[in-house]
Amino acid sequence: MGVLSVPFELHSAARQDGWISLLIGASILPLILLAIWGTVKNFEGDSFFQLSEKLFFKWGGRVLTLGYVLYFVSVGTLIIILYGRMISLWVLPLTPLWVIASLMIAVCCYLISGGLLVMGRIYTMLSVLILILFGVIIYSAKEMNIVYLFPILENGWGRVLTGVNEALFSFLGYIVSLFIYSKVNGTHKQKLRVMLYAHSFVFLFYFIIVFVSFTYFSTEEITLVPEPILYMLKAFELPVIARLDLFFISIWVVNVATTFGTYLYMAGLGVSHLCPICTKTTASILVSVIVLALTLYVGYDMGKTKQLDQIVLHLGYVFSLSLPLIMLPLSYFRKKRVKEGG
Amino acid sequence: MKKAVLVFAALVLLTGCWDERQFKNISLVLSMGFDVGEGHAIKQTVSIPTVTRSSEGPGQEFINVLSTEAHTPREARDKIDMMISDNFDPSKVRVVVFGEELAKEGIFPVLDDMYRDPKSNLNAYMAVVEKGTAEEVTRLKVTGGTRISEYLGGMLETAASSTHTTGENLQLLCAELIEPGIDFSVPLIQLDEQNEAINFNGMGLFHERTYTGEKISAEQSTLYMLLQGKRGKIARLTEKVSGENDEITSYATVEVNKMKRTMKLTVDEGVTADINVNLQLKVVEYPSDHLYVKGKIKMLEEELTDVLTKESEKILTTLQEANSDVFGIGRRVKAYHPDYWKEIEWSEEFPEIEIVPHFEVKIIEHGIMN
Repeated sequence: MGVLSVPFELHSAARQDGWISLLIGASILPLILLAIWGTVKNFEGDSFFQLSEKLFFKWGGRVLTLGYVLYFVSVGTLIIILYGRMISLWVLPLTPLWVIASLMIAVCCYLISGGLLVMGRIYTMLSVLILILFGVIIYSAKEMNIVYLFPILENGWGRVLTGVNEALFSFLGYIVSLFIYSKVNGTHKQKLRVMLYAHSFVFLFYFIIVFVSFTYFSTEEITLVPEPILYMLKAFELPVIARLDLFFISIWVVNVATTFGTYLYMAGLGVSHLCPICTKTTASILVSVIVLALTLYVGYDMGKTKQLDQIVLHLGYVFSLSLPLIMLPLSYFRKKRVKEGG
Repeated sequence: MKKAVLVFAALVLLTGCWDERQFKNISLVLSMGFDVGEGHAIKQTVSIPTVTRSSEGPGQEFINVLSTEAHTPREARDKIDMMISDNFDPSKVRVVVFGEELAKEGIFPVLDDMYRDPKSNLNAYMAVVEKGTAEEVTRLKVTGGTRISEYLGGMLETAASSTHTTGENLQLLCAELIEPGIDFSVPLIQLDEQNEAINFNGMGLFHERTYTGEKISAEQSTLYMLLQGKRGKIARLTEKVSGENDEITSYATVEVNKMKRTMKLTVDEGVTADINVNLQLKVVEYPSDHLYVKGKIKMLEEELTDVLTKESEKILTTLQEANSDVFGIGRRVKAYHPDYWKEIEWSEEFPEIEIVPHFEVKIIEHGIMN
């Protein structure tokens, strides 16, 4: 999802040293993954919601679940808004937002109605498309100019560290492992390995993208292009495909669908846990309607989008970064208590 | 019931696009020209071909050339849009031509619309008209009825593949346009009214965002490209080497088979840039023959090295006089010697720095004749 905007965000935070930020961010992240892993490992077989109720007592756990649902809804809304804006800017300037948004949401609703197993299968199948994205990007790497990465550390470590912040948020999707951990078969060791593999793959992909767009565009130019990869592909022409950027964007749409589908699924899980009369399907439909309403409320308004972005960022600090780190020591403590009590 | 839902869904979802850009509703603009206007800032000239369908055989093609004056290119585009029956569509522009005068004022503000519009074609070539206006060039009726866009586009493409131009499109120029410490050059063309043709006249040197008026001539341009480390499909050089007194036999034409070009920067008091060009050549024309004679090839190699070095020095002097840092030396200084970069004003420094060309020439082939 972040493929299009990550290079720009990193660049505006850390200028040409953005790739260092990405590197640092990616190496910090396994710590949080380990924290998540450590937490869920202590409660064998419990779903996240049971786990949080054990950790923070019944009502605390419910509040936490509600918090996560709100977080996922806002992330989902942000995804749909950014997606809608991108599509309307690049491909369909005349199609109204409600059509673009509701089509995407409807597809994702259908996608998750099959349950986790079906989602997993479809995602595996769709991951082939990422290879195409790789191919397209590597093809365009022929115009690279390494000079644009220098001077290294021109703006000092301060900027690089702000960049780390941005970099961490491009990896936010890892939170899914907290939710579906108990639903996946396999030993703890296997699961940890899969989590780390997934993380390294995402990192590799982002790194290549950042590297290519930093070396293709000059340092000054990239500040003018919010979606460097698309802008870069716009100028390439293959014998069969005249506009590589449109080709790229249509594959990217599939990635948006999988990302949004995942958040929708997790939010749906939370809602169905909180409200006993909701089935999973009604829960996810409920969430979809909320997301659609929020999307239409924000619309293409840049100011409101910025606000939403900030909200998601701050919620991200709480739910994706801090909470896993808090839960880890708590889980050891509570586990002992539960055992002693039992 | 389920079927009814499916049918309904299919009806609603599969009926087609909301955004349609049908070919019958648009006019594809294939080449654009920009000049300084008389009343307004800009005069835009576009050529739009329309194909009329005939009942049999190929349709007939009319080329519509329109000019208008406006404050900005986008306004000009809207004005032209009012003059034509369909919608103005820049997505297939092949060439963007600038009049000399406008190029001297600056090209970036004019290109902004192109860079901003997702539909525009950034793979288009750019050219500057020497001693003339873009309007004249766009209005030229080429013999044989070829479209001007095709003619110019084809010409610039050939020029790139025969190592006369960099072959850079608008997108690649943008980086050099914006980045400090890198300048660029753009193909110069000139109208030949007698032959009703267009001549390639070398490369026009730009400083920052404006055309300096200085140029590298068409004869020098191949060597100029080699100095930049750029080579098209074919790179051919014709140089005068001492031979017999006869005019024609004293020339040799060589083709570059392989080349390697590196640039080394030394910064202490001032900046020195050493450009090393390593060429492996194939002789394609050498009327004084006798290349089998022992030592003759060696001699020719030495002579070529000499001549190329001298020619390059001339080119480098022109570049420095025009203050056009096409090698991006400034950006490298910034990259590898950032402290020095901060102390100096590059556009004052560049004409003063020392650029030394070094050639290493090796003849590896001489055709099927000695």
